[in-house]
Amino acid sequence: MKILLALLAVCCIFTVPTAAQNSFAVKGLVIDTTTLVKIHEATVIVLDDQDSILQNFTYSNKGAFELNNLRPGKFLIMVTYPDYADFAEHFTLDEANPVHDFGNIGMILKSKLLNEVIIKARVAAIKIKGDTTEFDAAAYATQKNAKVEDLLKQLPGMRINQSGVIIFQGETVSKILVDGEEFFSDDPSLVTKNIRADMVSKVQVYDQRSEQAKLTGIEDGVKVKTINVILTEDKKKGLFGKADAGYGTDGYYTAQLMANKFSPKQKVSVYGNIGNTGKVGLSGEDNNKFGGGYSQGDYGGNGIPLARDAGAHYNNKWNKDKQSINVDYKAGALTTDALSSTISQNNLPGNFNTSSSDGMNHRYNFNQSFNGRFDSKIDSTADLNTYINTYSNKGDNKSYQTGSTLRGNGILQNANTNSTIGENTFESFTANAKYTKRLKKKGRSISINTGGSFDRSNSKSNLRSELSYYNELGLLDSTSTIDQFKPIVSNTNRLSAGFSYTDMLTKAISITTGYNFSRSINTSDRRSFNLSDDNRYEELDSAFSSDFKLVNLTSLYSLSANYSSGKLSAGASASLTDASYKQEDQFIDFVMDRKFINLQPGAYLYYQLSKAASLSLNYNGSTNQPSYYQLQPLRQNSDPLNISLGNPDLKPSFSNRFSYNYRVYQPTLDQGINFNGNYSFTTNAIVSNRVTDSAGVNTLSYSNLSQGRPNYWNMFAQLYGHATKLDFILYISLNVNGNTYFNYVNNTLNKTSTVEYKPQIDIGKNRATYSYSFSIGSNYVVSSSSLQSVNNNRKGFFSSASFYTKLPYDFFIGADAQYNYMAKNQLFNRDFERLIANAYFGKNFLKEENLKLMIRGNDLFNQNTGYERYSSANGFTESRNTTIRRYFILSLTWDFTKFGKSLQKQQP
Amino acid sequence: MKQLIILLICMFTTKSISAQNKHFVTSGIIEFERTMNMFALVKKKVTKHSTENKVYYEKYLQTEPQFRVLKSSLTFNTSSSLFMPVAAKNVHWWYDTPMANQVNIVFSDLKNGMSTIQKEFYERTYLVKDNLRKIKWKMTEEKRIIAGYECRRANGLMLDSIYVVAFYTEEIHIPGGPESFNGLPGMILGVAVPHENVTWFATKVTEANIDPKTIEPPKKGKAVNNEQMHDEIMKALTNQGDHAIVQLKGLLL
Repeated sequence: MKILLALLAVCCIFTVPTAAQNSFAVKGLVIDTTTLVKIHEATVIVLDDQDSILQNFTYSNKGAFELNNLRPGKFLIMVTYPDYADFAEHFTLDEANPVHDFGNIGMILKSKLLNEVIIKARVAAIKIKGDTTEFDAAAYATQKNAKVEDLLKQLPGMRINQSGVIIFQGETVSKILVDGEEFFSDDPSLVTKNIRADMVSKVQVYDQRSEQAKLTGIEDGVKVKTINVILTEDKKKGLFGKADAGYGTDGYYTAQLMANKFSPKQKVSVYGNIGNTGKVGLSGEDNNKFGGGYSQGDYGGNGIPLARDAGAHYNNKWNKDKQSINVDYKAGALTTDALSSTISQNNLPGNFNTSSSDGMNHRYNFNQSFNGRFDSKIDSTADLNTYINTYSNKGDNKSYQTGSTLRGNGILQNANTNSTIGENTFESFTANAKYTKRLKKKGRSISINTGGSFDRSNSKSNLRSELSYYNELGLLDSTSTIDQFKPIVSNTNRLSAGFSYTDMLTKAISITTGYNFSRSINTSDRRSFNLSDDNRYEELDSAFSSDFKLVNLTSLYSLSANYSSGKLSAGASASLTDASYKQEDQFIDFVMDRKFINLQPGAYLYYQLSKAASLSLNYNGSTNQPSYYQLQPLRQNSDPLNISLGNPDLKPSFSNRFSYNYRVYQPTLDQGINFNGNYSFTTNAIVSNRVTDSAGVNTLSYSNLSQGRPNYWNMFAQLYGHATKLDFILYISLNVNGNTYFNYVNNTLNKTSTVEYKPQIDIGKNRATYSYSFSIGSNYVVSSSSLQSVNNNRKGFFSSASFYTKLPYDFFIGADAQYNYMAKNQLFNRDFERLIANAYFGKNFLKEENLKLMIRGNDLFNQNTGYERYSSANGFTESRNTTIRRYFILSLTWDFTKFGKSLQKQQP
Repeated sequence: MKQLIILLICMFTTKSISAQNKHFVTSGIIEFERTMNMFALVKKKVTKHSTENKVYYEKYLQTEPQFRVLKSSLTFNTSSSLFMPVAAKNVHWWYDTPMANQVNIVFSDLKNGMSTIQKEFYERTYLVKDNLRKIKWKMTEEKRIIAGYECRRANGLMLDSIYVVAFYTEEIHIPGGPESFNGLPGMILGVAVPHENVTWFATKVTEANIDPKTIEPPKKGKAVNNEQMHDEIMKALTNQGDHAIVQLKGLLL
């Protein structure tokens, strides 16, 4: 106690101002560097040079300042003023120099300095680390009960298109991980629509190597754009999910349930969906098959889909995280019914013909998949990774189609009716294992891998086709009728094994060398039976039957070197594949033996220019072996108007692809620039030749192109930043791409060149209580074909808008609309425009707003007629399909959560 | 290339570049919130010689909230300031400790470096007249926004051994702060005393013309200086055993 008392007394004495004046002082004049204006009331602080302890401070008076009563010693002067960068400099006072005069002290506005000075404590919303872009979820506001999808939409450079496909800086994201682990591996929508946005701490985007490259250790140049969703620590333990049910007009309904139980080591998740609105129940695989996207909500847009599916996921780690397992199972059934009609014009040198068809289609498909992964750290130097996948699919389909082709002068060329009834099954099984051993020397490791797979597909179909050919005068020339039963059985077995070896030559340089061998055997038995006399399909039609056996042996040798040091990393790789290929046909005495040497060079360079900017360059080359379909097509008559013929003399083509990516992001202002682009060309390209005979039958064949190289290029530039007052984010982007490709039409070479210009402006703002976005852009396409006098230039524009806002008493309202316009051109004599608008209104209940009642109107103006049109210099196609049109649906959604409460836990 | 980028960035940076004559607040009222981690404060009552308090501590954990929040206001002009707590509900005597309460009304005469503190404890009132408290401040680079003002962090040492973290804004050129915190080149809008489990943060800064009459030193209580005050506290704490030091800090802070 006495000590405290004494100290207190000392403190008191210390504060008594000393009367003794001394002459140690510092002075100067504070001015703005740019305008040379004297800064009034700038804070001037003198600190001890050694420990930064505050000695004295004052404020400038019209720029001038003077601080007296200092002691001799070494000091640091700090001059600060709001919105200006801090000024700091050392100075010394001693008997020889008792007064230090700084003269003019120039201050620089922070906005001038851009980001040379980055304030430490402010959290940067985006970090660019190597080739990874990391977003801090806390910097983006989402509504209560929002999902990952709502968060992703706000990240600069991230877009989610109409079919739910996630696009980052112009590239499609094909994988989403949760905490670095697979979660319903191939279906990103099960992460984006299921995991809550408030559970996410960070979102990382990077390129992963392909599964094949990860297994073999051999670089194949394939990059998989991946998003890794990192959860916040306190949300890793808990129960959450969503139940949703809706009933609408015109017989539309949906029901959905998702439930998850997470703990730090274990994740369990189940889901089930049923519906016919095209918004639920379409798993990734269905979409890969039937549509362009992978998300729920897209099934290609044709027909009315009835979808039912369910799945479960489990992953767990144990034994100090040395062992981990990750499994998921999915099952889904999809029924679609559609009516469609198509009109297309086919341009021929000096002529054209028009074909039209009407059809109906019914399809049912049931599939199941199982993925399992087991990883084990055997000891501190060895890992074992194993993976298995099984997939089965069973379906049936019925289609009926009638069509006709008219010559350019309007005279009938042919008429056709076609019906198919079939069923099919497909089963596959894949298993891979990889063992990695790290050797004593740092960076040296060896890995061996082996894998195998088999597929079995079985289909049976009945084809009936009646085709009538007409002569130049439009009189019936001949008819051909097909009534066949076609069973097809095909099997593929594949085995592979290999090893790779990695070593560090120096601290910065590593090399990897590898070898892989694989053998695949494919048998394909396709038969066609005509109706025999006793009305049974027993009579083999050998012209349209085949029984192939295809044996493919490959040996792959690879070598790659990587350099990585500080700001620069670069690498080069080369691989050589020796492939032999043998095909035997049991029906005709046909044997084809081919050998190919395939080369695959690659190189990349990655340079971090500054904290905010990075540049990457990439090159990949590859030999493309012709497919066996192109070499020896299977004889088939399923479409008697389009026949394809193979060419056993085809040589491989070689393609080269160059790309660059330049990014700048300024964290303090949350703005940036993305420039990226690529250019690719193919030598010795395999091109098709379409020969149309007088009866309107197309025959397709292939050959290597000797004059000309097909090429493709793309340039993308995007700027984004915030408006000051309204604080919305603004994007300005321009995409220009072009391509040149070649084909033969009736044995004459045709060169088609296309350039597309697509400028676009987007604005958007997201807050917890409201959000809006608006986007407008146009596309202008210049396209010409050497064989045609008409050009296929197209002009159009597109616009979309959306808003959401909360209303008093927990009501909310929102709407979105998309408008598309294409002007008429030399091929189409009508403009095309379509406005699709959706709107919703509802009310949230409960304290956490986790019960929601909502009415939604889909396609309010009923303009989704299913009309599509497509044109190329060689012709155009217009089609109409059954689609989901205007309907209203009333739905109830319940979000449930229960996370471990940290309320009674001691906080520091 | 770099010039081009800077140009492009500037093109859509609409922020005004003429921020030269910044407006500085010279008088007004600041509302503060004092937050205490009661779990930690109640735990401190459980000492070697008062293990019986453990029962209360455990009961507190189960029944009471972790944080206690008290409000106060600081009225200031260029020369002086008055810190006034807002009366709050008492803590049950089982859990009570001086650090859980606001015992001071603080008048600071910033021109002359003097302060008048009306201190109330154990039903007694004192009027402490002495110099402003001297705090050793160490500047840092860290910044954060408090009540809309950008603040710079300084770490301080006071009463010889108590470590404090303060955030001051250079947009208010007055070297004051809540309670007896002062001495930085701008108004202190945030203070944390990590080892004592207490923080003060400004919730609202209102710029207003202040009638100098409203900033008057308190008058009630027995007049003492720092030294006499310390003696009085020590006398009152003689039979508090090993909890006395904790109570002393609570009463002095």
